[in-house]
Amino acid sequence: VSTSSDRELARRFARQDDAAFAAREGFDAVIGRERATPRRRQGRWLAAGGAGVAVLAAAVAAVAVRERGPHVRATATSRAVAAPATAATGTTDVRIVAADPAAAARVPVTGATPLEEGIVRNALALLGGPSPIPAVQFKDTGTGRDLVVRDVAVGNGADAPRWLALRFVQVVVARLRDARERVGWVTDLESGQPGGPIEGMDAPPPPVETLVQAVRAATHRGVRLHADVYPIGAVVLRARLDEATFLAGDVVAHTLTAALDRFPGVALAGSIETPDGTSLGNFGHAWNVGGGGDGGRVARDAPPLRGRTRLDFTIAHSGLNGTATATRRLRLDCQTPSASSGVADVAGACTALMQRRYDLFSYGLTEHSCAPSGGDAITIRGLLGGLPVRRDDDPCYVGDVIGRIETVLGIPPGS
Amino acid sequence: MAARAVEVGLERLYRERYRVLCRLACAVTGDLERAHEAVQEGFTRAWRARDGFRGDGSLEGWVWRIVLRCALDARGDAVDTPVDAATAVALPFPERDPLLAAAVAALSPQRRLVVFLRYYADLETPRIAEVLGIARGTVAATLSQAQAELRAALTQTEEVGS
Repeated sequence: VSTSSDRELARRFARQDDAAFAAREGFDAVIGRERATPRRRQGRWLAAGGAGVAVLAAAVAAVAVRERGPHVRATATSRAVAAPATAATGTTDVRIVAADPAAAARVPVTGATPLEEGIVRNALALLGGPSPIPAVQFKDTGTGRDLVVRDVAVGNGADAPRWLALRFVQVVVARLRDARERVGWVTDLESGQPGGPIEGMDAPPPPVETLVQAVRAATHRGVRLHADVYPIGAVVLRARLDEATFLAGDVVAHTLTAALDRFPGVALAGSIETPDGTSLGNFGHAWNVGGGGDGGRVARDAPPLRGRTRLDFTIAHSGLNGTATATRRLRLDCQTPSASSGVADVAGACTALMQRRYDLFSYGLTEHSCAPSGGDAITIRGLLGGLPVRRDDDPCYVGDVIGRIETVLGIPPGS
Repeated sequence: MAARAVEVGLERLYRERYRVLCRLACAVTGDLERAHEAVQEGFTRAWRARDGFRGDGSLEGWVWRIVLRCALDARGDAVDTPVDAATAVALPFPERDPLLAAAVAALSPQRRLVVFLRYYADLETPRIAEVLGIARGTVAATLSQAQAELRAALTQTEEVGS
């Protein structure tokens, strides 16, 4: 590769620089709060007494574990909380996962000091049983301590993999910090490769009862919500939408998590499903670590809906620079085919849209931000089987939905 | 590495490298605001974790990895998405050079990221290898292949367009 080619690429990439990338604040402004109280987290959990938090109690117990062993008290089994009064037609049921010291005791913990092992086993117990974490290892590197948590199983029915393990790591790191031990590096949860530093938690997780109340507050019309609440401060939500709510497309992750987002110590994972249980996607977060994404869908035939189907489609294609190159407007009227326009096979399109609606009308659950690289967009308004449909999808969400709908409508994709 | 040296080093990196870190964060997130948030969050995390920096690699490489992690988080990637050569990036301002945008978009994710780290983040081969956790030789070979591919694509496109 010639030097001139190298310089030419450097020159062209330089055109992608922009004054907007310059720092807006000085280092002191960004780090200032940290710098002012450089060890502000030390012992904060232990200083947060009076909260009556099970996890806090476990942390205190863990410090004393050398002499007395694990102190987590558990009910024999997980318990279901009676479904509360529902809001409109939404329902919510909650299962509180019981701490399970016996399951925690079966997890191999190697290389740990007695203090570390106590903290680990108490945190493991708060995940319930069977443990989603098969093994924990501490390594002394000479200059610090490594925590290795690898080959993590998908936790307890949650569709968002490894989030529960991440919460476990955060709790362990926080408790070690409270005990004046720092774990400098946590090995990558999946591959075993070195990962980044994982922070402990600033605040203890809220009490289980508070989490249950917050889950109940997420009750939403047209949504059958199930929640698993873990005493480690983690919540798994699974939401099944009814037909009208799915087609309206207005229940997203934030709809369900807003009440829980008020509590900074909560780790959250969830999924939203179509009426037949097809996953629209997963979402979730854990302390200071974002997450979210749309899961894979499995197309299945959906049952027919009785009622009028009349849909207006606006499909816009754009060039690389974002300039619209073509905009199509089509109408599909299944009861009055002559009122349709731009659709070659009205009957075929009506059948396909009805049968494959869980796939074709899937939508994104989390807010994304697209690069300003142009792309395509589709807007759908009208009725499907008598139920209102509203979609405003662009490639940020489900990239190939436009192409699939174009195929259904008989348009060469991208034309 | 002494704690004070790490603190001074972080401040220097913030002063000298913020802009290129923000560039690449924007290439990952596709959004300027999220890019700034990712860089600031990256430095905040690095500051909090500074006691854990053992000096196995360079401080800058360490910060790059943390900022890239934050950018992936800001983009909404799953928490276990690795910061590696498969990390997807795109030009933030494709309209300024549509031919280049198309050419880099056609690269494999690994080649694309290495190209971005070289030309957009101004990192040399050893540092790229450190950030991605791969061998220097792999970086050099990947970069060479990517350069050839880009040169061919750009030449061909410009000939067709002329």
